[in-house]
Amino acid sequence: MSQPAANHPQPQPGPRYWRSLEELADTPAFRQWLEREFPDGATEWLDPVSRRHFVKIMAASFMLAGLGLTGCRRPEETIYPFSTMPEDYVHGAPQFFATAMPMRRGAQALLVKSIDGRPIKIEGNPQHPLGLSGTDRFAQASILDLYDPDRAMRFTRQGREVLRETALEYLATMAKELAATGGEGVCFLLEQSSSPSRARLQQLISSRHPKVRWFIYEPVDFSVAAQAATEAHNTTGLALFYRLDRAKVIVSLESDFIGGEDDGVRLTRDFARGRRIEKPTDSLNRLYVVESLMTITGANADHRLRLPPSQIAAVAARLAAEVLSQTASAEAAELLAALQAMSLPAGVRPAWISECAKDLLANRGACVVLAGHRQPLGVHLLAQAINRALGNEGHTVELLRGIEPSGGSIQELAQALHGGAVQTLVICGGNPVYNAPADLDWAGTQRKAKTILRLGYYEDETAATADWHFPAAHYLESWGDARTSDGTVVPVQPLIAPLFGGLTELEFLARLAGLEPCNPYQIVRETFRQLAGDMDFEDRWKRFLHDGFLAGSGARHVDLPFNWAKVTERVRGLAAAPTPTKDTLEVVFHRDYKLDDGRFNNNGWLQELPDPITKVTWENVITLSAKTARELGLDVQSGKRGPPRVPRVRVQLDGRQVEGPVWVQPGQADYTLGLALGYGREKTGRVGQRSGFNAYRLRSSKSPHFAIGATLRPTGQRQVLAVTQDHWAMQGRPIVREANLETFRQDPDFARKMELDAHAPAVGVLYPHPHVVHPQMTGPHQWGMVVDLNACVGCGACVIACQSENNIPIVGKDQVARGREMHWLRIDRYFSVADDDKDLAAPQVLNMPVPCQHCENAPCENVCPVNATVHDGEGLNLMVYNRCVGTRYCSNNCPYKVRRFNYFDFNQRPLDQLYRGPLAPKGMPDLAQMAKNPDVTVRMRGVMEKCTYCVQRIQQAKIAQKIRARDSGEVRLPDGTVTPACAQACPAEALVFGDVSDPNSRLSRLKAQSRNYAVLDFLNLKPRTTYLARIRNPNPAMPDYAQQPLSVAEYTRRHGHPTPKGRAPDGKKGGH
Amino acid sequence: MAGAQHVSAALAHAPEPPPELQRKPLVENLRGFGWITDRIAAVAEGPTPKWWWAAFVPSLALTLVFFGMIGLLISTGVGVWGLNHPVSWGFDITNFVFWIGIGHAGTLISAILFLLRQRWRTAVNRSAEAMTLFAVMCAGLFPLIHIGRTWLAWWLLPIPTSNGIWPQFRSPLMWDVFAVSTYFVVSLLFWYLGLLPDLATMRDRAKTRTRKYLYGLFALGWTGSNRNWSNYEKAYLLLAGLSTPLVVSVHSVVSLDFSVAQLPGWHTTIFPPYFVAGAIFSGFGMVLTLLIPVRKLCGLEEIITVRHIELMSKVLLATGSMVGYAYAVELFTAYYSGNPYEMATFKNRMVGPYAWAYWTMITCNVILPQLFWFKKIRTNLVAVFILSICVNIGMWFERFVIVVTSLHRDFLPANWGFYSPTWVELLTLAGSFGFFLTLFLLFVRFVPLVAMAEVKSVIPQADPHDPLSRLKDAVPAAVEEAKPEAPGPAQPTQRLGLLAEFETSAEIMNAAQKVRDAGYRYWDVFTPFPIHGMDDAMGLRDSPVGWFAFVGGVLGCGGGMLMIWFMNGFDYPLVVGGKPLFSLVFAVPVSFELTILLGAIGAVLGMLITNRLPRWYNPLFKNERFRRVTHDRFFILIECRDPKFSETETRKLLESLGSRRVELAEA
Repeated sequence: MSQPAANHPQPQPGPRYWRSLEELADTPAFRQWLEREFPDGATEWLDPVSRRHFVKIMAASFMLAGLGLTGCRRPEETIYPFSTMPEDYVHGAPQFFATAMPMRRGAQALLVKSIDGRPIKIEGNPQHPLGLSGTDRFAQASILDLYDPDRAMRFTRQGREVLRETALEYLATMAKELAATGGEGVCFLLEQSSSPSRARLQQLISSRHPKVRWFIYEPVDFSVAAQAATEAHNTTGLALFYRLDRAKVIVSLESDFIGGEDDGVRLTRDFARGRRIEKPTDSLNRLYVVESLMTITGANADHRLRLPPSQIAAVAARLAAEVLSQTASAEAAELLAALQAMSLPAGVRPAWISECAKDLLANRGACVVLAGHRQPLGVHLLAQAINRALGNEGHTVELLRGIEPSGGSIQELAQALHGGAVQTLVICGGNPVYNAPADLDWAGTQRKAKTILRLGYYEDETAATADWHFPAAHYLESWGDARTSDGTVVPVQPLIAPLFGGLTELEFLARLAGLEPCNPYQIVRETFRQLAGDMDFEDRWKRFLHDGFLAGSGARHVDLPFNWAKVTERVRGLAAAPTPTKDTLEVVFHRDYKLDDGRFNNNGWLQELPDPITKVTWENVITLSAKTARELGLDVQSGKRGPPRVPRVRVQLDGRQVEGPVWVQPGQADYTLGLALGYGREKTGRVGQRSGFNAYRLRSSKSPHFAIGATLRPTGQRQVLAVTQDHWAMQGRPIVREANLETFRQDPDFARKMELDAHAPAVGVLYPHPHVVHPQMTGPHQWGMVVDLNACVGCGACVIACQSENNIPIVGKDQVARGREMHWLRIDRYFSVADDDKDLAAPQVLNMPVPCQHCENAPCENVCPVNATVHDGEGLNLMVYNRCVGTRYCSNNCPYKVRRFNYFDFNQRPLDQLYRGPLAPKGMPDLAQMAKNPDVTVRMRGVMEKCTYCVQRIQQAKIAQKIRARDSGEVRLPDGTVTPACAQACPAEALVFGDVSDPNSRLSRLKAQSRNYAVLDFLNLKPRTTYLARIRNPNPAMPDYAQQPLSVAEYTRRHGHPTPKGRAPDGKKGGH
Repeated sequence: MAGAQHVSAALAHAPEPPPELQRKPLVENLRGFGWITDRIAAVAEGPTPKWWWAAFVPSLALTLVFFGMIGLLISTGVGVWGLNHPVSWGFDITNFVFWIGIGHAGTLISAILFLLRQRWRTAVNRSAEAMTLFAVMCAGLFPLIHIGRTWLAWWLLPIPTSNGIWPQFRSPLMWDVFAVSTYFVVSLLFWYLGLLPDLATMRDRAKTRTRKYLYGLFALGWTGSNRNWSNYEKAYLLLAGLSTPLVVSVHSVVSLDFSVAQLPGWHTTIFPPYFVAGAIFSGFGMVLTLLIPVRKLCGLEEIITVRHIELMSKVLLATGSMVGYAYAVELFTAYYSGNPYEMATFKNRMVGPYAWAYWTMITCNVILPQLFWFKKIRTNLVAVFILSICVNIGMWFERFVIVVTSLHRDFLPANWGFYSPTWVELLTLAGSFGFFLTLFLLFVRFVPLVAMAEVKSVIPQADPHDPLSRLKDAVPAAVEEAKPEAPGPAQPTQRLGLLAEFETSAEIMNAAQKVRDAGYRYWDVFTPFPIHGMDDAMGLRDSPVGWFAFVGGVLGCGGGMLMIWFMNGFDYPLVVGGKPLFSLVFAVPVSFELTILLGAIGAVLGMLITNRLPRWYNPLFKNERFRRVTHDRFFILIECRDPKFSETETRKLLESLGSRRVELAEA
């Protein structure tokens, strides 16, 4: 089998990016492998390394086939035929490999689905000790970055392309120089990383070249909590590990732990588990949030206090004082005295804080206070003091030994640069020219270095100013390792060979320092050897790669003494901050829910994902409260007549300014401006261009998170925003049904007493057919879904997961503004406000994921003239794309409006040339084609599409079961076999899919709950997707307690009935 | 006036009808057959007037725009329109329903008014029917182009494809396909049937070979024989009878596009009658808009009189009020339902972002037509013209309000959106008017725009019992008198029979009775229009055309049901909307339309078969005098093959009946 391949003539040098594959094929190991008549028995294939290696080559061949077809030429490169099938490898069948997505201080353990050597879908790794099958938006979307046609594909010197070999040679020269000088004048600017291998390399390099200096910069840095923990416990390298599932009361001090902080997936899962409720007697956790912006966490709060960020410290102080005065510890007396001297900000009701403190005190050891990364160290210390005082340490907050950060700050690097001490600056990842603090003038400052080397994933702003640019490998192309938040070591292993010969950070550092081996695979193995020991090394290594984690490597809680004096000292430093006014506004820089700090700027899925709170796509906006907007004379129109046209304003702060559109955000603190980071890039790919404004321009080293003293002036211009949801009010309609916990306890059936069917019985079929029982659904399974509105936090991971699984195209800002986004699953976000709350100051937020409801009496079906949407025997509402002619009647008749129409050839035409029709170039970029799921049709224009419950997954599971069943006829799938992409990705486990005909399935048990209801049930559609009503758990002692959720109050006001507080239900359903 | 003396002479014998029964004559100034024929035919025969070019050139330009926009749409995608999620229908379906509505006046005038014996319809039915056809052509294009993959539109037809899947007959869109195409076909048949005698007139008047050939081709060899008229009238009556429920059904089916859906604002049982009334309303509006200038420009004021205009204004008043009533009932139903979604939709119509459209609709459709209560307004042509345009505008907005305001805010507020048309949609709408006007102008120019035969049949002279029927045509016909034949050699070698010419309907009636009484079998009467009572006078039996229609109708109904059962219930059963695979309920609309379609085709085929048409050659065409049979003269032909035929005896008989001229016709 090997001979023909080996005897192929030397191929012509093809396009640049395939050279790496040739190289790969030319490695002696591979040649040897090819030459061998029979591999050494089956063990070869049990070895994941060589198996993966094979898959890599396979991937390469497929890619060659795919990429080479342009221009009707046969590929010139050698393709190795698949003449002997490796064991366990079935052509076209998906394979899953464990890997991890490293992010800042941690990583997400992942299982990545690969089909024929192409990674196509990312899932969480549920076997990992954290047990997360869900992921966040970023992990879901990261696969698109792998196939980004705009990623850095070439090695450049002074912006001109050079051969890969030349660039690597240059690294070798550098290594020699480094050896000669001991690293004098060489500075490394790195991103944060939890990789043990990188830490090891750093140490190794520092020991060999002691004069090398390390600096670390993260524009959005979560390490303040760890820093506070370290300080408060008088030690080094501590990390905080919150256990929200154990908490009954959670207080967030501007900690957006669901959406904006580190380790959000796990925190969300644990928080949502605390919100799970089955019976009225179950308890719920309670969430208090003090924050300035409306965040996802604030949206899920039972009590929310809005305050400018600078005022939160005072609230923290008062809360700590209230708690400490009750816990009466002698050590804390001094701190208590210091705290009692601090006054509350104006407008904050003391009762809010005292009642909150009482609630905390009543749940000692089962409560937790979290502080957000934007808050200063003092607030974090106070939060930890409260946790300590309430005995939460070791219960709801664990102290883990983490990695010592090793490196100076970017400010220190700037000083060094200005000092002229830097000869060579090596920037690994990051994009400081774009996101360094504005006062550092980084583009200019870094030029003080003679030579700048950059390893980057994009040819971005920093790449443009670097002397050498090396393309970085995507993590799905890389060997590496990382630690998850609990300290467990996880492998990062490639599913595909680097598409463009990119380097991993490990290889780059190793080559630069002249280390041997410089192969990242060897580096990671060596690190693993050091971590795991030599015993049974190969077996443990294989297990490590197979399972995706090193068992037992997680950190344990350490009991440490608390340094009250240190905290007291720091708290004294918390000066009373001035309150912002309309002329001195407070600016809040926040991590964007979609682009993070800008690293996902060129990711179309994330750009087009509606912001979970504002529902704005494709750009950032300057959020402010309605009152602030009014006082500043800004007329922010809603989208009542087409897409909203909002005023553009100029925000000035300390002589710097940015210009952007404003957006009124209900629930935001007055006189604060929310500026999302990550937009307004100057050099980025085609997707990220011209999206939003660059908030980093206002951000200085002094006040990286919030700064007071900004002014806002309208420019007089207006601009259109692409917002996916124009109406935030639920209009008193019982769409999202909710109740307070007490109401639920009194009346567990409350959800079924709303809406029209509650007082007029559903008639069902008016004229039943004499012979036919309909609908005729006779399949062995009857699929259905339930969405627990109590668990859903509205993060949007499901939307991206769906997009990734189902090949949903993006449509671009212009088309979103026209209301043509294609998401099969959307998250409706409603605000409900009290009647007298004209400023929308205290809204309650409701999130509702809406996929196709798969109605048994589907109204879309009977209006389709061509049978393009029909039901199958298992209750799926099917959409037959190639039968669809595009009348769009189904969409009109869908009361949930979950169907999406391809108004243009979104897959085939460049999004900026949609209106040119046949004059625009046609065809999908080769790289984009690789990201598509081969199990799902890519839809053409003129075709309707919608959620299928991931029918491809159902079919695969059924086929597999049929094969397994053989003659036994046991074709029924066990519960839990099939999980649609949305349910699988959901960090909150809010979506559950299963068989409604099986009374013991998890789904059926959930549907049997009294909270279960169908939206618009009175239409007699019998939707298979139902919802579990939301239960709020407000504290009756709180001053902002309301007996009914605001939406229910509005419902009662408009409709005058249900809920026990209104008319008493007479017990019978359907009165009149 | 030249005819005045004759008139008074003729009237001297007749008793005066009581004043309350006296109606203004339908054709003013007591015009005769010849005058009517000349005046109407002149529009299509004379030199092209300047106004026609002035109207035609811009219309044609707009037509090009229309097809340009359709090309842009199909090549680029539906996205060039302003449609979105949730408003996936906008101008497209608005225009469709608007044009279909326009198309309703024609068939209503031809069919329902025919059945109701409203004789004034004769002056306007031809142009109204033509308008119907052109409006349905415009209407039919919109659903065709609005779909995402126009090139696959044929999947809506029940023909086998390699997919093996059949159309889905529960969908109102399928009903639409059948209703609209049936409507077009039946309207076309109806229009063409009515046109047949007039095409023969045009053929007989034609001065050039081309015109003679073309009109002759379409006239199918029509001679005006009373045996033909007998079958023809039966077919016409059947078509009228079939078209009447068709008119009602088509707009009902169109309304079902909405009311079968469950969208608040669409899902309402009042739609079918409300849509039919609205369609008649808008159709008459458009007839007025077109005919008020056309009667002036074509000099037809004496045929399409102010009385006609006034009568149509009354129809507008009546149907406008019905539509207004429907609007009120809609509101009441929404209020009384207690359904907050319904209430919200109707409130949103009145005060929401599209309130301006709603109030435009109310003003134009309900308030302004109330002016027609005043006779001064009804008889003021300028006022009627302006109001008819208002009605058109109002009815367009009615459809816009129904389609768009219901869609843009439905059940879940998170889906709410807004729709505004793009320039492509605006130009497409304008272009459809251009297309419509182009076709109408071509019609005016090449086809007699008033049904000549029918108008002739409603003037007093046409009734053999009316004293005026004895009145000879005062105005000489524009058709040349036949040149006197040369005697002798002109004697035909092959004899067909004796052809006797008469000048009035009274004469021919009398003559027919006498010939019948004489016991002839192979003979026939030829008249320019069907004469009431002539069948009896000739002793003809009832026409068998009805059987053809009956068989067609039964085939249509049964075949339709069978087809739907086979396709949806048997051959490829699919679970759709939780509904049974087959039920009579959803099979009704399509089977109904097929009943009408095949019934109508049966009637027309029956007429052609019983009349042995088309017939390209008829020996009578060789007779120069006979050409006036489609104009103003009446003939009796007694054929030689009749056993009782004797050239001398028969000639004597005919001459005794008062024939102006009896001659031997060549075979």
